[in-house]
Amino acid sequence: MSLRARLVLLFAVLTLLPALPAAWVTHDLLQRTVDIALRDEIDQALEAGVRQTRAALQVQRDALGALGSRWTAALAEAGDPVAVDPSFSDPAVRVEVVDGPVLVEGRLGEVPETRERGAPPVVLRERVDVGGTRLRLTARVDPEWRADALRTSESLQMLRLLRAERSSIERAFLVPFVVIVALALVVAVGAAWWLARGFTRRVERLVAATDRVATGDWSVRTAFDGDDELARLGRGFDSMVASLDAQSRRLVDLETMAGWREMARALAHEVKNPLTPIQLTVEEMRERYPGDDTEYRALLDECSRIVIEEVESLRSVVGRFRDFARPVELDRRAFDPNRLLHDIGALQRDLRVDFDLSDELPAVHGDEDRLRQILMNLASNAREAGATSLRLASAPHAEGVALVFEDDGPGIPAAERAQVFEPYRTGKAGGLGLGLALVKGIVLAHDGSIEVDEGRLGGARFTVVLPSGQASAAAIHASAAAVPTSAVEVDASAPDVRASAAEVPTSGAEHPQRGDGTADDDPEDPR
Amino acid sequence: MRPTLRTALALTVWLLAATPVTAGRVVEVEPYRADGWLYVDVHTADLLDPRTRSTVESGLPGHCRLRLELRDARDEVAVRRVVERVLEFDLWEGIARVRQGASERAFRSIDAADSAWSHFAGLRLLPWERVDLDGRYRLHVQVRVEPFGPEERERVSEYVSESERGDRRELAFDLGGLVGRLVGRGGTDDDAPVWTSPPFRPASLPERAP
Repeated sequence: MSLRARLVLLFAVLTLLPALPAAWVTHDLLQRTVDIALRDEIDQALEAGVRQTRAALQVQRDALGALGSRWTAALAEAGDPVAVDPSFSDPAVRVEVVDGPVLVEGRLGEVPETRERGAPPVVLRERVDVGGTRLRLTARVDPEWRADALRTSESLQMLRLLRAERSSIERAFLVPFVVIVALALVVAVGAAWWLARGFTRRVERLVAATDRVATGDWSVRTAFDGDDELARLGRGFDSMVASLDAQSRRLVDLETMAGWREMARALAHEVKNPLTPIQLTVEEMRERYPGDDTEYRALLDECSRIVIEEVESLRSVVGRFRDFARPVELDRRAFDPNRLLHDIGALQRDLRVDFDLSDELPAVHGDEDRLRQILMNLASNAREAGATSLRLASAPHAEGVALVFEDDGPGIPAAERAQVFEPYRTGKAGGLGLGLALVKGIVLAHDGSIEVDEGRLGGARFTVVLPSGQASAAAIHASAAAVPTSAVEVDASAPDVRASAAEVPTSGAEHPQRGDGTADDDPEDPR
Repeated sequence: MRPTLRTALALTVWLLAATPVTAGRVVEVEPYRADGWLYVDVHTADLLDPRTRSTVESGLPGHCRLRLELRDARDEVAVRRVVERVLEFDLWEGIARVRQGASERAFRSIDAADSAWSHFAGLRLLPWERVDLDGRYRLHVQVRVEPFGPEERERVSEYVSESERGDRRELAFDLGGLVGRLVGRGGTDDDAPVWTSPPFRPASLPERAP
């Protein structure tokens, strides 16, 4: 089950957990309340009340019947209803001859013509029939009794209705509760889904990014927004991957550089060894010529001179190879990188130099002379490539300080930029292609990095990133702790990476810029 | 449909369902010919269940609805009759009355009235000339009794609503009204079971007085 589904389920359970006991309590309370409200005792009491009111009504009926009997007797005695003395009669009861005169007016008040269905009667009537004379007695029902009877009967009816509808009523009271719980559940699940979506989406991105890193893709970044823990985790991940990427690249560069240096050292060794015997043999051949053929002597001298000059030239090349391969220790000190750029700019008499320097740079802990040397060589290369102006810039960088060296020369084609720092790649006739490799070696020795692209002036732009004082010290410390593990692999084919960090060639850099395609003199400064 | 959803739906239906009506029992259905018409007598029983009797004894009317369909051999309805009766007891006079339309009959007890309102005699169905004498017909009968008429339901609904409103005026929504409306729901004919007579041929029916 996915994290999101689990979160939604958790919210739903957390919503339902209090709802279920609440539902149980509510249902129980409802049933108990209904039980109390509709209990049999109330029904029996109301039924008894109705019986009592009916009995009371019967008493009134009986009284009216008794009065009717007395009227019957009186009428039988008098013969004529008008002759009957009504003093014995109840003055509240109306006595009248049917279709004849009223004998006693009575106190009936207003009597409705029809009786309301189911309601207690408003009046009671009694008929007397004596010898063909019909009397009608009408008595008004006691209003208090009637009101009580009506209330009692209606209460009994309502109770019976409620008892009959009990299950419906219980359900009706439960429906709002269920609806509210259902709404709460829907809201909780919706909120959980929404919250989980925001949460798990980033977790899923982080997992995907981790998977890509595991497959060797160091370019992946999470780029989370916000300032919560996940966003910080994402930024930490990005920073970690970037750092690992940089370290990985640096290790590869160091390994590659070590390989090239080993190759240069072996090449120098193999080439240097036969040079002296060759030179001595040629000199011996020239000196020991016993003959007196002047032409042959002249030819021999000329050939010997050429061979010896070429041997010297090879020695020079071997020297440059050895310089490239030679480990050089850095003299690290803290220095102001802006001052270094100012010094470089001041020395460029034949180039226009613009500065764009940051005032918030930390000090760089490195070998200022070596760095000055590589910047001078970059300037020399630029000049030889036809550049007329330079732009020297500095800026704070996440890993320390960025030094930017930019010229308005022809630049380096994009397709060649990836290989421009590899040794033995040069566009110059007679060049060995060690210049920019030496530059990169020096930068790597500083735990820094160098990149080339196209600058604002249209020419090449070299960006050298150097660790600042603290970062550099930390990097040295980290390098001392971390590199031996990698150095085991490097040792198999190349010198120890730690040693390579201390190797600094003494020669200058070679700029492979090609403007018009013509070959320049080798700008390398062998020593 | 997923089990959870089905359970929730069933619970909702149960919660919203109206109170089941009482279904009486159809004992006998007698079709016959009289006065040039096809008639039928329907005898039912157990219409006055304890719940209905209880309300009738308190003076409330009980309602009975008989639904009768004459169906031909193709099960198409040839004619439909609906008969509604009310049984009520006058507490103060001690008289039970059975009303059907404008007619009313009085009885001295509820039991006597019960036997009368259970017997639906002389229900006229079709003119004899419109009857297929050799066709096969069936009678579908539904009878349902409710201790409530619309007026009584309204009374209960208002009673429940008013008591809620009176006690909980601070509620922003009308909970009492909602409960009252839910209580006020009545049943339908569909709630009652259908009794189906054996098939009969009109030609073989007896002729007698309705």
